Amino acid sequence: MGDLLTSTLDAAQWMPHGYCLQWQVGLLATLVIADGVTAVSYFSIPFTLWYFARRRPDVAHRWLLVLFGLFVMACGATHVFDVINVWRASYVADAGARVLTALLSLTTAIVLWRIMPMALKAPSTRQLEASNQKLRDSYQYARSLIEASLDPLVTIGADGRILDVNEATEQATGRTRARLIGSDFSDYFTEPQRARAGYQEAYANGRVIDFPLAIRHASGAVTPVLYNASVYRDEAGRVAGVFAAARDISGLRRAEERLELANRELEAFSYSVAHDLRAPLRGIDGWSLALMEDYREQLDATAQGYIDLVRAETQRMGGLIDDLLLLSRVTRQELRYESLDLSELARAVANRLLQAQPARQIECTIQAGVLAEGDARLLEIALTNLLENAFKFTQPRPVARIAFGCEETRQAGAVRRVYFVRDNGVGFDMAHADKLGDPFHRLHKASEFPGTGIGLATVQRIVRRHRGSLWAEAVPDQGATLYFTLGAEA
Amino acid sequence: MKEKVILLVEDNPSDVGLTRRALAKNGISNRLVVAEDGQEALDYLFGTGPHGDRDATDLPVLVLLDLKLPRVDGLDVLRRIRADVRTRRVPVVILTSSNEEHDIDCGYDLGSNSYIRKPVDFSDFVETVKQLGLYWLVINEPPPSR
Repeated sequence: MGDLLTSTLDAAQWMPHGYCLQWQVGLLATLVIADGVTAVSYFSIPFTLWYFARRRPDVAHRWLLVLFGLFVMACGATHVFDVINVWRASYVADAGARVLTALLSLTTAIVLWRIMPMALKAPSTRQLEASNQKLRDSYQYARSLIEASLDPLVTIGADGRILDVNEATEQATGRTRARLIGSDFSDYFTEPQRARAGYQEAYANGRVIDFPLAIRHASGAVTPVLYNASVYRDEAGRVAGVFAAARDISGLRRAEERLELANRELEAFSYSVAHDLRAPLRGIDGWSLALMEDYREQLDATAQGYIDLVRAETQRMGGLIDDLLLLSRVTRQELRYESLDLSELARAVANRLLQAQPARQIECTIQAGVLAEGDARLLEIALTNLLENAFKFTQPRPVARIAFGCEETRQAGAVRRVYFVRDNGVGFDMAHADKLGDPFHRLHKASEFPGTGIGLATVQRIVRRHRGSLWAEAVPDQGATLYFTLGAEA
Repeated sequence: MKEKVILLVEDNPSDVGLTRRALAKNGISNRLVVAEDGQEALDYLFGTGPHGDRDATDLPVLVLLDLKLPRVDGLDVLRRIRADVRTRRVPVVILTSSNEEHDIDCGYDLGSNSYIRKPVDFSDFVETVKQLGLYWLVINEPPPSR
């Protein structure tokens, strides 16, 4: 053991490698030059790697480059020893260099296998190219969607400056993209202050819906719009800005104006009906009564009967005009929503009707605490019509039973309120129930139950204007229940 | 003592006749002056035009005002009555066919003392005129005449 150690350390014992090759100049020169070039090349590689690492600080696993550098350096060193050994037998140092190279090679080989799964996962240039293409396509798709929108779309940064626009925005404002981007978005509205208020609302609440504004075109033309906006966030979830769309509602406005005009005409018409149609009726009634009073002696019973008929018809016509006016009024009157106690309304109406017919025996049950959202004036008209009907159609009953209340049913978790007016009156055949809300359609003979046939049509309109519906359940000679709902049940 | 005149502003002769009849039936014997349109009513009240020789300080005890009138309409007449210091205190009762909310609102906004819708039924009308006469000619204390 001791001998082996001393013998290996004593380099002088061995001949340089040149002797093995019998100092053949050609062969030796070839080996020396080849080994020298290989060594220099190997030594240059770590510098290349170092240069690469410096220029690409983003590259992951930099330790791998160091490992590679060392491994290549070690390989280079073995070739240097091949050259030295031609003249000097430094086989011990050579062996050391080769052991180091073996260790580094082994480490590198193992490490390479260890990182193989990761290396396999790393996308190739072609894959990267393909995914880049996909990204470009999807960007192009998103962009073309934004550009294709007929609504002007804008993104606005936290400072209120425009970050991006689409073509519709250019058209609506009459300004180029280059001019718009970076400018204050509120400059393009007729009321910049209100526009900023809308933007701030979107910022504070995360969104703003149907905020009315008007865009001013470079030419001075004004477009009424509804502004809808919501905030958008960066990857960290921070609000990055507001994405806003403005919908041109000029068409809607024009339709509203036409409707307004039609309503004004209808109003003028109703006004005229109210004034001019009633006045002659008053004359007919008044003067036929005057005839009756002043010339009673000259008129026999038949003539007096005729005058009674004239007056009765006049009254009917008066009632008809009033009902028609009411029907037209409930159609055009603006809705004023408030929280209502329908029980209270119904009780007031019922008390009025009870006082008007003191001789009848009527049991009127009003369920307490029936609440609703609606227009008090219109719903009072509806309840009046429904209760008047109940009072009217129970006339033949020795004891009339009339009830008002509300049934609550649950449908898919939502509460549906169905209000009803029930009576034990003469009812009607359900075969005719679909004609219930038609104006002037009556289910009873005028000689039995007087009426104009406008009452339920009025109720129908009132209920519809509250986005509800009206229907009935009835059994001939047993009674009827009129049901109605208010508002779309959420 | 001055004559207690009732000024009826009404363009429909039939309605004028009926009002006369209803007043008579209720024993209201005040002289009835009829103005057939708004301008005539204003001329009477302010002693202008055909009424130039009238003493304008002698105001009617009550004005019964229809709304739909030729030339100057009822609401304008009311506005002019209330705008003038001479006539602003005259009791004005709107007596009309319409019960349009807009008319009622405007009537009160312009300072009408009362708003009455003429019923179609003449018997009801007679009753209405009776109440009206009783209230405005008997119960109500009129503004002191100047």
